[in-house]
Amino acid sequence: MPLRVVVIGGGIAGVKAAETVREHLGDAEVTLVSGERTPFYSRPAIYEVLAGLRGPEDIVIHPDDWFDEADIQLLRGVEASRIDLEGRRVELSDGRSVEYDRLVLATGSKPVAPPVEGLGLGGIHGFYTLEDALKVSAELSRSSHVLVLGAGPVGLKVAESIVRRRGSSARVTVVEKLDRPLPRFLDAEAGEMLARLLEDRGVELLLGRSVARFEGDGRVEAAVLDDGRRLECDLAIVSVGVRPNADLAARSGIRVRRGVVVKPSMETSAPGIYAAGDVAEVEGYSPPINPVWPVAYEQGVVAGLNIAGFKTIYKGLPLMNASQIFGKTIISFGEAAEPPPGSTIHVYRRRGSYVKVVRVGGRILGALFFGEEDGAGAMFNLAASGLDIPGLEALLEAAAPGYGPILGLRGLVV
Amino acid sequence: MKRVYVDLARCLGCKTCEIACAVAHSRGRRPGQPLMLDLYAAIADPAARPRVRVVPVSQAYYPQITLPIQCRHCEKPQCVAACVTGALTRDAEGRVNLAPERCIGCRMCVMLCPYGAIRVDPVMGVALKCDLCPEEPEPACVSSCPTKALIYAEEEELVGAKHRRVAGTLAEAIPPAPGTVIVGLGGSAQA
Repeated sequence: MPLRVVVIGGGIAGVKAAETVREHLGDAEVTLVSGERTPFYSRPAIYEVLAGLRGPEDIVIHPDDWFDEADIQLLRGVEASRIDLEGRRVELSDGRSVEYDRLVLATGSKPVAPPVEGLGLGGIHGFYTLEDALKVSAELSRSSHVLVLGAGPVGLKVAESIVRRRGSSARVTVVEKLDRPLPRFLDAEAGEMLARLLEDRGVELLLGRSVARFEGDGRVEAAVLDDGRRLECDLAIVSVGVRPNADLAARSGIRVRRGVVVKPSMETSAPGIYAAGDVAEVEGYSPPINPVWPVAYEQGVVAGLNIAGFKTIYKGLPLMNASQIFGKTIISFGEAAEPPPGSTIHVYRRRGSYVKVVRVGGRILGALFFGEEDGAGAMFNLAASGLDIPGLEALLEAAAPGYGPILGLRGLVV
Repeated sequence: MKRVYVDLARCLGCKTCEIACAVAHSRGRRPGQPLMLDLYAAIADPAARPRVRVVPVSQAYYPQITLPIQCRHCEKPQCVAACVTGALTRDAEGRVNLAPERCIGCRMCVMLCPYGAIRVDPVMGVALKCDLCPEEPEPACVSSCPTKALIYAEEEELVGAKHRRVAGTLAEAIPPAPGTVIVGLGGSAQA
C-alpha cells in the first residue's frame, strides 16, 4: 500500500516538503492542504503588489495546475481543523477528512495581535498574506494617512511600499516601541542610518512610542499614543511581529512551546508527524524559531527527505534577514545587533555604508551590512559553519582602504 | 557541464574579463562579432555591468593573488534555496539561471552565496549573475582573457597537474552547504 503523506500549509516549507517526498517516493500519495485561496505565491513579494509595481499574478511561483503535473493532490482553500492522532486523520474545515501515514505541519506564522484597544475597528489590518496585501491595497487608494504599528521587517516594507505607490499624496507614520527601526537586526548606528533614510523619503518615524488605543466610529479615525498624543489615521497596519501558527498542533495534542517542538529531523512529539518552517521550534537550537524563507525551504526539504527514508537533519542556520529599503541593502545575521559580552567587533564605515563583523577568536558570530553587499555571503557562510578560522583577526584588520570594506575577505572563500 | 575555471598563476588582475562581461551583456551586443567592436555601444548603455569580478584572494595571506569570481553554478545552490520569488532556478544540465523579471532585489541570494558571485545591480535593483554567455561561442570572460587564465571546460577535461589542482580547489567548493566552506587557498585552513 502506498505511503499516504499529507502536508498542511501551502507556503514554501509545505511545498518543498511535498515536492521532496514526490521526488523520492514515486508511489506515495501526496496531498497538500492550503487554507489560502490564492495560488502558491512569493510571500516576500506581496509588498510589490502593495506598491503597485506587480499584480498578484506576477508573484505566483506555482499556479495550481503545477501541483497536478507534479502529482500532488492540492486541497485549496480548506483549513485543517483537527488532527486525530489515534485514527491518523486530518479533519478539514469543509467536513471532509484525509488519512495519513506521515503528516507535515507547515502552517507558518501569524501576525501577533498586540493588547491595544480598538483593534477590531475597520481599516486596521495585519499584513501577512497576499489577500491582506490586496485588501490594504484597495483601501490605500482612498487613504490619506496610514499608521504602521511596528518597525520590524514587515512594517518597514509596508511603509516603503506605500511611499512608492503614493509618493507624497499619503502620509505614513511608523510607531515603534523600541529605540530604533529593525531592532532585532540593527544596532544603534545602523538604526540611525536607516531612520534618516526613512525620514528623507517621507516616512515619519516615532521611536520609543506605542499605540495605547485606536479610536473611531466603526472605522479607525485615530490612534492615541502612550504619551497621550492623538494621530489621525484612516488606515492602520499592525506589524509588531509574527508568532508560530501552532494552534492546530496544540489542540491536537502535539507538543508545542512557542512553536511546534521538533527534533533536528523535524519530527514532532507525535509519531509520523513532522513540522517545518515558521511553525517549527527546533529544540536545543539557537534560534529555535527562525521565520525566514531559506530556513523554511531547508526544513521542508529535511522533513520530506526523512519521510522518504533518507535520514537527514537540519543543521541550523543563524537568525537572519536580508532586505532592501528604498534600494539600500540591509543584511544582518547572527548576533550582530547585540554582540554578546567577550566578543570583538570590527567596523567598516564608508560614505553611506556601515559594516560590522562580530567575532570571538576565529569564529564569526554575526555581521551586519547596511548599504553594502561585499563580503556578506562569505561572512554568512563562515558564521553558519561555526568554523574557527586561523588568522581571522589579521584578515579583518587587513581590509585595505581602496578595496572597500572587507573586500579582501571575499577571497577567503573560493 | 562546462564551468569556468581559473589558473591562479596566470591571472594578473587586469579586469579585461570584467569589461568583456559588461560588453557581452550590454544592449546592442551583436553576438558573433568580436567583443571589442561592441565596446562603444556598451559604454553608451548605462545598464551594462559585469557579472564577473576580479578580487584579491586574501590580502592577509596572499597579497599578490587576484581571482576572477563568477557564479560557480553550484550543485546545491544556496541562492536557489534563498530565492523568494522563484527567479533563480537550476536547470537539468546544472546551470543556475536568473529570470530578472521575477527578481525583486530582496538580497537573500546575496546573503547566502558563499562566493559573493551574485550582486544587485544598483541601477536596475535586480540581481546580476553569470549566465555563461548563452549567446556567445564561449563565455566572454574566457575568450577575452589575455593571459588565458580562464578556462571553460568540463572538470574531467582539465589536464595537467596545475589544472587539476585549480579545478580541485574550486570543484570541492562547488556544493557549498553550510559546514563545507573551503577557507583560504593552499590549505591554510580547510573545513
